[in-house]
Amino acid sequence: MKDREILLHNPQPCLRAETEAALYVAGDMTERAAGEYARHLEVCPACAAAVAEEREVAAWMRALPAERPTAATLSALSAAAVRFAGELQARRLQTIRQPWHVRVRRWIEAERAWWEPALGWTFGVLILLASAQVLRDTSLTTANPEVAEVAVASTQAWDYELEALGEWGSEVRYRSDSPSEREWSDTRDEALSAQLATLRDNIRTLSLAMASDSP
Amino acid sequence: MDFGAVRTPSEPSDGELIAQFVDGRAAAFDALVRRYETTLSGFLRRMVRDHALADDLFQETFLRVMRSLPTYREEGRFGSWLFGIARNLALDALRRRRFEQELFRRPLQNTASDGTDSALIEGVTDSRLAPDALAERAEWGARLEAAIAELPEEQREVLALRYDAGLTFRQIAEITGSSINTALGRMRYATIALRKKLGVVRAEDQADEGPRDSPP
Repeated sequence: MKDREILLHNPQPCLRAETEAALYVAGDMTERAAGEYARHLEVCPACAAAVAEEREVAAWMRALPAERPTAATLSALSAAAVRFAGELQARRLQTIRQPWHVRVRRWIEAERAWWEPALGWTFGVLILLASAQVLRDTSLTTANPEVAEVAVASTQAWDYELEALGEWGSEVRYRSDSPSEREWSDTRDEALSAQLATLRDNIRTLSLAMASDSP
Repeated sequence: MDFGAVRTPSEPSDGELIAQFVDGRAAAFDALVRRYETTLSGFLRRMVRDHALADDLFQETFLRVMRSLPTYREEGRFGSWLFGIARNLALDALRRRRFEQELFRRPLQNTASDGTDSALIEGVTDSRLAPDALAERAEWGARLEAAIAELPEEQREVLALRYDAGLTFRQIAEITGSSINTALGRMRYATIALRKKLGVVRAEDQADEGPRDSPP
């Protein structure tokens, strides 16, 4: 409110006077900006007046006597510095005398501030990467729903065939009384099952590949 | 960058002094205190307007700095950090004082009138000036101090950080947590208010109103 009143009593026709005058007088402007503002001052009475005012106040402030703390304050600080420097030295000597594993443990504890968040971030990134990989794999079957459906259906069909074949083999085995025939049947059954399983896996891989390649 | 500090190029930087102190050399801390004693003391006194309190805060600031130095990483911002600590302590002290004054219903103590006059007269002693001129200058200084003391806290803070601490406006903005334009605006308001309180006519009106009232 006070600031507003001050402005009302001191109208500023140029907005640049409010910010740039003090900056210019303080010498905080870049050389280029200062040059440009100096040219502006030649044509803007408001800014020229503001700069004159800022310079005058700066001169008043510089003329005020410098402040210094009392001698008692300075000597108290000096004594505290001697005590604290001694403590620091003692702490360092104590650290040097300690065995290496204690020093490592202390270092880990002292540096916890940076390694703990770093470890957290690393785990976070690994989890994100793993999630991305899982999503990518899952997307193989969902790239084209129709093809994915065919792939799943064909895999299920082969599973049923395998199951049926196993049942048929068992029936043959139990029907035959000859041990050599049963052995032959078992061997053949196993070989056929293995071949069919390989074929099923190949079809599954092929179907998934088709699903991912399809637009 | 050692802003706000009194340092010649041959002297060690703030960072070097800090490293020496952490190595156990107490004299390095004394050098650091000497480097900032004028600027920090001036800033604190301007903020709290009380010599004794400013002295206490000066000591407290450096004690806090000392305790933090072993873990402090100097990146050329020691001055900014130092004045930031001092500012927070000063604001806390002002808040505490306001609370106490409200509690006991005392009028705001303005030590600028009791403690400043003698300091001003001491500070302005200049053998080249005639006694009349000296007295006039001392009187002007006292009026200026009183006018500064009446400024709103945020304007007084910018004024102190600029002229007592010698900080740039970018650093002032950083320490006060405001934008650079806010800091510059506060400085402009402070300038206008000071001139108004001191009865100095505006520079652009000067030509119309004749000679102005200015410091001797």
